[in-house]
Amino acid sequence: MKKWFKPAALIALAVSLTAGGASVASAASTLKGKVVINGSSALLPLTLQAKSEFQKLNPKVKISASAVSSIAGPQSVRKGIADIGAVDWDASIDVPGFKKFDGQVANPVAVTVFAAVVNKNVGVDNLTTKQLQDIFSGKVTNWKDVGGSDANIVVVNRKFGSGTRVNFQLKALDGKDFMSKGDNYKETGSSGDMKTAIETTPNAIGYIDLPYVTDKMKAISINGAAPTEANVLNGKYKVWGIGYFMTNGQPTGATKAFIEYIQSAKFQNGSLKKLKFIPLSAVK
Amino acid sequence: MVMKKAFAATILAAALGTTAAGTAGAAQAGGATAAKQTNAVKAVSAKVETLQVKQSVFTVNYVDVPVRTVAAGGETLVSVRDLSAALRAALTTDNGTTTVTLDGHTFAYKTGAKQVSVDGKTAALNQAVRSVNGTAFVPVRPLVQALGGTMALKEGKLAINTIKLLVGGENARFVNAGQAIVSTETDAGRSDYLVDVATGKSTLLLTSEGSSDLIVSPNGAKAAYTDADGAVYIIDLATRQPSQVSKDTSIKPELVWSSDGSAIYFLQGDKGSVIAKMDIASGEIAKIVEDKVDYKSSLSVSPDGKRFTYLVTTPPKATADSADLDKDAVAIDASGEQVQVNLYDLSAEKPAAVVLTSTKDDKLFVTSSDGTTVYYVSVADENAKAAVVSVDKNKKAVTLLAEGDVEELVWSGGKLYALTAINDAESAIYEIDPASASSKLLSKVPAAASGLAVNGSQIILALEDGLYVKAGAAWKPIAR
Repeated sequence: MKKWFKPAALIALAVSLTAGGASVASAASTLKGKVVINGSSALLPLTLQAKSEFQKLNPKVKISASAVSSIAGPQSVRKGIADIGAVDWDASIDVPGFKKFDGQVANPVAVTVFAAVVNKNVGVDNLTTKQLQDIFSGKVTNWKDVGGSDANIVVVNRKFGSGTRVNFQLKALDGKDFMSKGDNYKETGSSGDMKTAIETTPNAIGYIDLPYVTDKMKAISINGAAPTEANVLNGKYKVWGIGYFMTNGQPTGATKAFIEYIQSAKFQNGSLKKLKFIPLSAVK
Repeated sequence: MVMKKAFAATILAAALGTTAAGTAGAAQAGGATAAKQTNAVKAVSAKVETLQVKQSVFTVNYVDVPVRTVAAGGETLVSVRDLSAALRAALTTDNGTTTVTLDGHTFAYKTGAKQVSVDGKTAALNQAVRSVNGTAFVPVRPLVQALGGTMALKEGKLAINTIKLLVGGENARFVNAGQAIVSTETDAGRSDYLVDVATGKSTLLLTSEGSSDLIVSPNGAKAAYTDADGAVYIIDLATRQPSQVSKDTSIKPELVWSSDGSAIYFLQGDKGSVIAKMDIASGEIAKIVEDKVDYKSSLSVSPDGKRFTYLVTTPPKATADSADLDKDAVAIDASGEQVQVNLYDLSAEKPAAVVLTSTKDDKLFVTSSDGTTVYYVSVADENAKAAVVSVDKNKKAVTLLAEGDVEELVWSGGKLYALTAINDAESAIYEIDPASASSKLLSKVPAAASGLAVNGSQIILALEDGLYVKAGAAWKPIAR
């Protein structure tokens, strides 16, 4: 553990260091341990990037990061199979559809922007909240009714338990319910599956967090505002949320150090931005 | 500056109504200037003083320079003109007051007066400013301190340092033998500086918010980075002018220069799935490897641009059944979790990724210069000692260094350099020759050392109180 948690003692550099030892006030304590992370697939690229940087500073910390869905994050912590539960909402309080997880602490790590995305063949570039509500509830079923060409809309939804779904429902649909079945309706289990479905299904619409948007799909504007960091910061784009690392009580040891690394200015302004997340400090 | 030999001048006090007259020695060595000296000396002392002007050598900002000095009143006085020239300080005279200006500090004096002005505030010297043969001499210590410098006696010479070391500098990378890029980080963003390795003098290169690290080109002339949106820029390290290469804003987790500096390879996408190449002249992007394998990292490219080595991370498999949340029906299967070195050879008959390793260790500081042999620090588990390992294209693995507990590894000029912890108090830097698989101890350093950067025989290390460069047997600070 070289750069974190070092005692503040200054190393008095003698004229020559070849003798070593004598001028060193205390040894570098090497942080050891294992940190298991499970939960949100939206947060996984961020977690893995932080892992590779953190391990260069702390080679003796093993970090094992996996993803399935947001709700599985705090569940994994409650079950005792993970130290950190990555989740796209604050799971220490009640949210629509999910009860709070008692005893867990929500450590904020990133601002995530969510985008409504369509297959490249869709001619629509902008939808209003009302139009999105109508499409995702199954009330409007043809693109021509929202300014597109005459084609059936394929609605792709995330399965219950997805943090992206929770945020999209709350912020893009103003809490209105999704449809749950139909010929032109499908559900995907992860952000990666959603990405593939939108890229490969003509006339499809879904939603995904911004880092997953590729040049093989189109992110559309909502109420005239494109899903960009600038529009989040200026308040025009509302579909964003904060990602959290849930821990069982206050984090300690290697888990604490890893969370602090992700929260550091260096990571927040560097790699986190590079992966198209928004630093926590930007929305305070 | 043309320096003169030591000479002596006799100063007669103004009270005696005489002017300074050059001695025979002065006339010989000092030439016309000293001989024609007519300035009145307004010293208040009534007695006759003999001030010996001596030719001294000061080490000013790490460079030895000759300066004229006189000793008086138990102090060393220095020629203001000589020291100002060595410090590159500005000298202006207005109405009999001379002002020395350096880095925003001012020192203003009048010849013959004890009272001076430091940064606009009145201060008193121990003795009046002397004029000898028309040259003003000021006590050196208060002058240096007024200008924000420090003084020390080194090897019998007075060493004066007015270079402000960069505060909070970290992440040193060599640009060439003389310069390194050093960054400072604040909540508002990052500033990158070019630091003169010999003196610690820093020049601001770039201030940015959300930009990637600067990646120095193979010839050290330029550096590449992505801005907060992901667009690629190149900054000329001589002119410090950045220019945009491409407006493409796809996510680029890593940039790697081509060996001739004409292109930049990069991993593309939030999972680093694609290896792409950007032509710098046109900004055009070509996808080189698109094999749908996620979580590539630590990309290296061979000089001919044909072979790519990188890590692939396979996360554990997690499953969840959300039908009844209270049951916590979640599971993590870590049996397939691994990080492996891959080689992708475009010149192969059927290009495909070849997995070179199969061990379950963490692989850090991965690097390859030729696209056939990959070097890394292998960390088996938290209790095992980390070692430097190589693996070649035939999957043959060799342990290159097992001394201590290896913490960092860098490649420079055909050699590997490892920072390794020997015990709780001490680390060591080893040089590894991959050709002969031999290693030698270069230097022992405090255990707090980190952030190793190497350029030939030059080494930069981060210690707790700053960045240091190896200067012979000693380590010299270049940033705080």
